Amino acid sequence: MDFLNEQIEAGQLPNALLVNWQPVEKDYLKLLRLQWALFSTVLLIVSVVLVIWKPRLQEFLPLLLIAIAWLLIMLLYFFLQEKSFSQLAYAVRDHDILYRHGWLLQRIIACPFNRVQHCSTGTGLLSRIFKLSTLTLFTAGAGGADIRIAGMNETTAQNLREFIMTKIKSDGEDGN
Amino acid sequence: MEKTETDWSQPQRQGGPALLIIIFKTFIGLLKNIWPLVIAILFTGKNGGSNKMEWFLLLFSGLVLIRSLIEFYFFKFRIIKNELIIRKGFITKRTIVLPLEKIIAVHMEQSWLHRLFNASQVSFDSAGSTKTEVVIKAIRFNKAKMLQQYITEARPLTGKATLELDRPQIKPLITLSASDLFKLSVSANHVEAFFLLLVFSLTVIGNISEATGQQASGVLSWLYQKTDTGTITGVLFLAAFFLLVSMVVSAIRVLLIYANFRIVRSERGFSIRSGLINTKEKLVPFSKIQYLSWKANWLRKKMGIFLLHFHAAGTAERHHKMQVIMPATQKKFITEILKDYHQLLPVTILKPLSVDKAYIARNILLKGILPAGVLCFISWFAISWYAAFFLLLIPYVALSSWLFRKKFNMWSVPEAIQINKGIFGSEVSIMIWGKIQCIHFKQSIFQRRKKLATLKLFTAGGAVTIPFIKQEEAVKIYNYALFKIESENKKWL
Repeated sequence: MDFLNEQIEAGQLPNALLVNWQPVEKDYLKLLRLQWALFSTVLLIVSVVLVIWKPRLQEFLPLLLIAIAWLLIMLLYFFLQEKSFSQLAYAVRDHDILYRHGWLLQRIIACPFNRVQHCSTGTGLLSRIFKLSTLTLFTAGAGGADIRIAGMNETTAQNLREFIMTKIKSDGEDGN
Repeated sequence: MEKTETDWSQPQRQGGPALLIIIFKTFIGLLKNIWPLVIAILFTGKNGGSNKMEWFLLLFSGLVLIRSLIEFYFFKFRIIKNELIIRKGFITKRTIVLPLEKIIAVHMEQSWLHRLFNASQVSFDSAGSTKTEVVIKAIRFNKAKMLQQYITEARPLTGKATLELDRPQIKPLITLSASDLFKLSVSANHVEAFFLLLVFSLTVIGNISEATGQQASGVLSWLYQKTDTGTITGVLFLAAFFLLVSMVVSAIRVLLIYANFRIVRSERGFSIRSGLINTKEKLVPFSKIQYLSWKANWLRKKMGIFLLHFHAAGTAERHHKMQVIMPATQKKFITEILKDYHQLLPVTILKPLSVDKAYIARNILLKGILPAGVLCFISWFAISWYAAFFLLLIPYVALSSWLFRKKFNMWSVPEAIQINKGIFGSEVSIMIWGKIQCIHFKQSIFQRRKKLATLKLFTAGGAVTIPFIKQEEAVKIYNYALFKIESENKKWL
C-alpha cells in the first residue's frame, strides 16, 4: 500500500466562515419583540409601584428621571435586540454545524458532528404561538461548549435533529 | 500466591466497618450543620437547671444512628452485564446505572478512619456525568482495590474477578522529597492561607459569641492590645505576625495535601496518591487527559516549581473534587508526564503567534479607566480624596496587559498547539488538536474594525483562549482545527 503524506496548505482548507448563512425564522423577531414588550410592561409596573410606594419620588424631577431611565433602557434593549437578530444564523455542512449570534460581541461557534453527544429540540410557551423551536446540541466540552439555536421552524428543527442524530450514529460506526 | 475472589454480580453491601465509618461521617456532617445550635444548647444547659443537654444528646445520637443505618442497609451495588448498578435510599429510592465502558476512572480515598479499619472510599468518574456523584463510602481496602482493578483493567464478562495481593510493587515515576515539600511550603500562596484562616477564625468567634452571648476575647484582644498601627513598631509587629501565621498555615496545608505523594505509570494511565491524614488515590487514564498545563507564581518560577494540571474530561469546574493537580518540583517531572500526551513543541524553530498591541489599549479602557472612573465617582461622596486611590487600577491594568501581551505566544505543529502566557508568573499549556470539542470565534465591534479576533478552543477538560490575534490567523486556526477533528475522526476519550 502506498503511503501518502501530502502537505496541507492552510489556505486550501475549507473556510468555515465563508458559508451561506441560513437566517432563523422571521417570526422569531416577532417573538423577541413580544418578549421586549412584556419586559417593558413589567419594568413600567415596577416603576409605577415604586413611585406610589415612595412619596418622595412623586415630585417632578424624580419622575422625569425614572421616565427617562425607563425609556433609555427600553430603547437600548430594542436596538440591541434588532441588531442581534440580524446576525442570528446557522449553517450546516457535511461534517459540522456553525452558529452565528451577537452583534456587540459576535460569536461564530463551530461544532463538528463527531463531537456531538446528543441533541434535542424544545418549544417554550411563547415559541409555540409562532410555531418555533430551539435546537440544542450537547458536546462534552466544558462551560458554554453547547450550541443552542433558537427561532427555528418546528419542522426544520426536528429534521435537523434527525439529520444530526444519523450523522452521530454513522460517525460512531465509522471510527469513534 | 494469595488470591481472593468476589462475585460482583451478587448484590454487595458496604463492608462491616462501613457502618462505623458512616456513623462517624453522619455525625460530623450533622454537627457541621448545627454546631452553633449545639454550642448554644451545651452552654445554656450548663447554666440552667433543665435537662436540655441530655435530651439533645439523646435526640442527636438517635438521629445519627437512624440515618446511618438507613444509609448502610439500603445501599447495595453490583455489576451485571458490564453495568455498575447502585441502589440506595429508603424513602426516596434511587438506582444509578453506570455502564463500565463509561467509567473513565475509579478513585480510592482513605481518611484516618478508613485506615483504622483498613477500608477505603471508592468513587467513579464518568465522562459527562459531573453532576452525578457515585460514591461507595467504605469497603474493605482489598475489595476496593479489586473493584478498581476489575473496572479499570479487567472488565471480563463473567462477573468474577481476582486480585493478586502479592503483586510486585511498581516503582513510582515521581515522588516528593522533604526538601521538595519545604520548597512548596515556602512558595505557597500565603495570602490565600492567611485569608482562609482569618475567615475561619472570624466565623468561629462570631458563632461562639452569638451562641453564648459573650464577647470573644483571647488572641484577638491580645493582638489588638499589642498593635498600635500608628507606630512603625506596631505595623511591623502586625506584618510579622500575619506572615508567620500564614507561613505556618501554608506549611501545614502543603504537608497535609502532598505528604507521601507519588505517581505511578501503568499501561492505562497515571495513578496519583497523596495525603498525610486523608490519603487520596486518583487514576487518570491517558485517554482522559484533554490537555496539560503547568503554571507558577513569580516566586515558584524562580525556585523552579510548577503546578501541573491534568485537564481531564469531566473535571473542568474549578472546584471539582476530581481535579488533578500535581507539584512539579523538577523539570524532568513535566517531561515524564508529557511523554504520554505530547512532547513540548520545538518553539525555537517555530514562528510564534502573538497578541495584537490593541489588546493593551482595549484592556486599559475597559478594565482600567471605566471601572476606576465609576468606582472613583461613587466612592467620592463617601471617602472624598481617598477615592483617587481607585485610579491606581489604571496603571496596574496597563502593566498587567503589557506583560500578558509580551509573554503570550502560541505555536502549532500538525498534532498540537502550545501556549505560553502569564503576567507575573508563567503558564504553559499543550493541547492536541484532536481533543477539541468545539470552537468559538469571537469579535467585538472594535475587533471587527481592527480585523482582530479571539478564539476559544473547548475541550472536555476546559477551554483555552487565544485573545486578540489577527483575524486572518484566527480563521486559519479555526479552519485547521475543524479539518483535524473532522478528517481524522480520532477518539478524544
